[in-house]
Amino acid sequence: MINALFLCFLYLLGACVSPPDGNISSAQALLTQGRLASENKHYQQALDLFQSARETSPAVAHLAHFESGNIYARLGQPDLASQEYEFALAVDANHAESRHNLAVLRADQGRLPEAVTLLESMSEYVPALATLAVFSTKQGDYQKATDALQRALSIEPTSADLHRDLGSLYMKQGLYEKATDVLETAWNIDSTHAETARLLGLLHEHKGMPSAAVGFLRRALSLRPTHTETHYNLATALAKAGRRKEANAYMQRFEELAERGAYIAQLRRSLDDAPNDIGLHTDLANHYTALGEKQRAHSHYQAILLVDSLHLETIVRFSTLLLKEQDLAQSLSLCERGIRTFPKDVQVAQLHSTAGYIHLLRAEYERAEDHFTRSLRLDKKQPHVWNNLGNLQQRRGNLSNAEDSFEQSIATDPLFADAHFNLAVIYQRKKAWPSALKSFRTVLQIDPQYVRGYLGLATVYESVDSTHLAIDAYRQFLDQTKEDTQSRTHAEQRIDHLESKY
Amino acid sequence: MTAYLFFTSCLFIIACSGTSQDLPDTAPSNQREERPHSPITFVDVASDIGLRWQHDNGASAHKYFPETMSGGGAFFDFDNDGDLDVYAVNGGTLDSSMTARPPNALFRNDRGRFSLLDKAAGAEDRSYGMGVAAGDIDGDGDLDLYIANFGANALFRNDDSQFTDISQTSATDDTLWGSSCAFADYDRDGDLDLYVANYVSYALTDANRDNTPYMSDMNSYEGNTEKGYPHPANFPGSPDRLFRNDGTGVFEDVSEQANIYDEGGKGLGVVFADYDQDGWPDVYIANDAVRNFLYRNAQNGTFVEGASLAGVAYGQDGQMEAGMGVDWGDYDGDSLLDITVTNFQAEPNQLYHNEGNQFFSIETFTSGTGMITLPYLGFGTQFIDFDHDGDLDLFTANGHVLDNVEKIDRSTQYPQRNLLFRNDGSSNGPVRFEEIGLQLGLTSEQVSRGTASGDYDGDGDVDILVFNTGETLNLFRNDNEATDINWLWVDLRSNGGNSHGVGARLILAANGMEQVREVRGSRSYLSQSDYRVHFGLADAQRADWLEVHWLSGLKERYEQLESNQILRIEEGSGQPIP
Repeated sequence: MINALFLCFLYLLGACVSPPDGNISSAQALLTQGRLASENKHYQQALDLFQSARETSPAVAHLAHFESGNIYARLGQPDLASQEYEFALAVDANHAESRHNLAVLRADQGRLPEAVTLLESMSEYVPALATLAVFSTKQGDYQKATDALQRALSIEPTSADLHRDLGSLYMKQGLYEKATDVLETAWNIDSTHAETARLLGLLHEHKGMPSAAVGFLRRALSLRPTHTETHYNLATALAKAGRRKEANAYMQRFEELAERGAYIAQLRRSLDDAPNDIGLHTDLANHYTALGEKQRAHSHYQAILLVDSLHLETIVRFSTLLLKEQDLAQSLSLCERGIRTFPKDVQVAQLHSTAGYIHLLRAEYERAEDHFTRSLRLDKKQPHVWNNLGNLQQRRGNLSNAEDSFEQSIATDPLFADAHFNLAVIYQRKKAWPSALKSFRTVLQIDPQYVRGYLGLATVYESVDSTHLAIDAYRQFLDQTKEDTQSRTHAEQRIDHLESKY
Repeated sequence: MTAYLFFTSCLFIIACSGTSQDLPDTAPSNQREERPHSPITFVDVASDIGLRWQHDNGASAHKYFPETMSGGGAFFDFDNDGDLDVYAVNGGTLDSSMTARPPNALFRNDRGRFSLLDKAAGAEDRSYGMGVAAGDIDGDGDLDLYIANFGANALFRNDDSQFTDISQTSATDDTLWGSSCAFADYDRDGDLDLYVANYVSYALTDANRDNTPYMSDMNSYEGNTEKGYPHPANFPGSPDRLFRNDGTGVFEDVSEQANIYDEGGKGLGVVFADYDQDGWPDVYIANDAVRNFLYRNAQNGTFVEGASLAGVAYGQDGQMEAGMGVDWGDYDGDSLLDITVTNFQAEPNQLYHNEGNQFFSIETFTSGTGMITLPYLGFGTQFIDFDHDGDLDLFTANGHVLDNVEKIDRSTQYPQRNLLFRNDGSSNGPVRFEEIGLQLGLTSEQVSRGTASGDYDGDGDVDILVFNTGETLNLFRNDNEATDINWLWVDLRSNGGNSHGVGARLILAANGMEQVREVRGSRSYLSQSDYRVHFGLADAQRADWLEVHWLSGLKERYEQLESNQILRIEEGSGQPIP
């Protein structure tokens, strides 16, 4: 029975700055630096800068506390975060952002009535009104929620989010006519929002328009692929439309996600009792990663590193996640931290692998080779590292070594299609056609969806004048891929050429 | 430059923290005269008529989980004298250092006055009790008793109004934490089988029982940490049991082969009904904090679970809710049985409308029940026709699970008033319910759990029995002053071992409309209601006809039935119909 509640903390740069004193410029500069450090996830540095800002000028103290509170909140330290927001409010009782965030933390700590009281005093601040509506809905006070949203809309009449929230509230109460009006308005303002699409799907289902309902719900899911409730809604809509097989698939996925959600909730409850428990943070980070909720995963990894900045398992996992997200600088920085501290630990093999891959992407081949070599020295059974090393050697023109590396990769994992493909390319370059053919065929046996394998196969067939087979392979490639326009054009041109020749 | 931080709020914590919406006023006594006059009032007559009894939940500083979940009982005619007797399940201390536990109680009804029977006529069972079901397991015409306990369950055979403990010989002394239980002839072999909903896997002996997960820490207004009863998510679920009767009162656990074994279930409510009208009893299970189950009878001794796709497993957005009590009833007169489920505070009690094609739609808010129920924490619930107008109204019993909730949430309280929704009987558009409990005298606030209904005083009205945890029970006598309103109770007797015709479907025509009911004793939460079936006839002097569809397959019709009587019908006494 767990619902995720997402709230954004608005951060208004430069707001509420007191009249200048002698050091205010310096203090503001420190604030700016702190924000930059925070954005770059250098949280300890940011906290130090905010402290310096406070000490430099009392005029920015509330902002510095507010920023510090945001960092602690991000790191899953609600008590410290609350303390900072309270300090901010002690300096400036009207600092709406601090009051709002404090309310969110209170709610997160199970102190919902207190949170509502904090928010109720901010009738002109739209984020507070929107959050008040969320909390009131949780409490079952739909009238208070409605009033808050209508008040917010009177201040920001063109907000798609507020229209959507109000539509959601009307939907919950079965007020479908009112819901239609506000949801259509929300959709007209912003037709890229998943939740609006989901609600419109539900609305159409209620109106007995199953096709439209399914359409909106599919759209919602494409915008938010791991959203639990949307899977449920789509499953029931499909079932009612008589598409039971599809419905079952979505229901199964829904139940997997719901189970994960329930487990996350349980972990979070445990975390309330033990906020520094590294195992709980790790579990949560893994679950959030699986759900594609990167920010939350980051928060938990950061929380661990705040407790133990050299926690190797976290460094390994977090650097890998950052690499997947293309945050190469942060990933490399973490890798270097781990490598420096634990040079002989076998887990560091993964860090060398990640670091080597990043250098490879940056065409820093010597550094890349050094990392790959050290990684393999720690652990020889890493097929992807052998494969990357082979790629590196190939780029540097050392085909013989590359061939050896790909063979090592295959010896470690005979079903590693990438390595077979790369080896085939080496054979192709060496004009060792039978070997190339054999390797490309192996690739496609392992993974029939490996589309570049068909292209490679076609090229080899063409090279050995097996025209029919080459045409067939090109056609299979075209059947398998719809998006790679350039390669498709190439394949089509080759087919035309071969057919004309024939 | 905008910084975003994201949080997840834990629904349980929020739910326990309560609502900001005040509970509706509880009508001080000086306002009673100002209410519009209603011909119907409910008067709690329990202590006046001899039902003086207090439940002991053993509430302790350890906050043992069962303490806040217990409180069930039965409205049943154990001595076959034609009136309803009362059985009340008791709890007592769960502290191992104190062993004495109070007995369950049996009160015999003698012309509207109750007397406590010594040792509950042999069914006193001093376990920590939860729920109860009554049913004739051996076909001798007496109603036997099954008690679901926190600990080994108990089965008492009734022989001429004296009970004998046959828990072990019947092989029904299951030791999982039982909650609600129900008798039904699921395989239609002529005898009553037994379904027991089990809650969670919970041990009293854990060394850390004063800490999470055995207790919740909550922040009070005073800044203190308050210990609270735990959340069910802290414990693994417990699989339900289905016991098949071999016809002699000996049972076999067929849970796995019947496909109702699910270790994820956290069952609190169980109710049978033939919702798909195929002649075979199906069963719906309300689970706490996990999805609910709908087991469709596959007509071969097995069930197929399909609550999710049918739309009765979750709330509207697929959220798992805290299912407690349940009932089936055709509230909108379309001959299809709908479902009501009580839930936690800030979750509406759900009303799932049967669409007739294996799907249900949620009519919680459109029916008018959703908004009213949000501030309450519901347990027992029943569809009843309290005003004899022919449509089913809805009663819910409420009470928080946290005995110190006021310290963390001033908007709510541990004892809560119960709700009575009157069905507007609309034939044009969706049915709407109006909550009129206060107007009709349901003003007391207690920590209610189980509810049972029946006509204890033989005046034709549906009375309501409410079991409160740690408190005295209520018997709300229905006093209907209206003179132009009629009723009919039907008391079935079948030929086989299932002597009370449990599961039979009754269709009655009167006033140009048809009412569909089923013989069903176990419903609501932890409770057993009158097996006799009530029909409100409004101003009709007689029913045009009544059809009885017995589980044996026999269908019979009875014509022109006089109103205002308790009609005993024996299987085979009517006009057979195809």
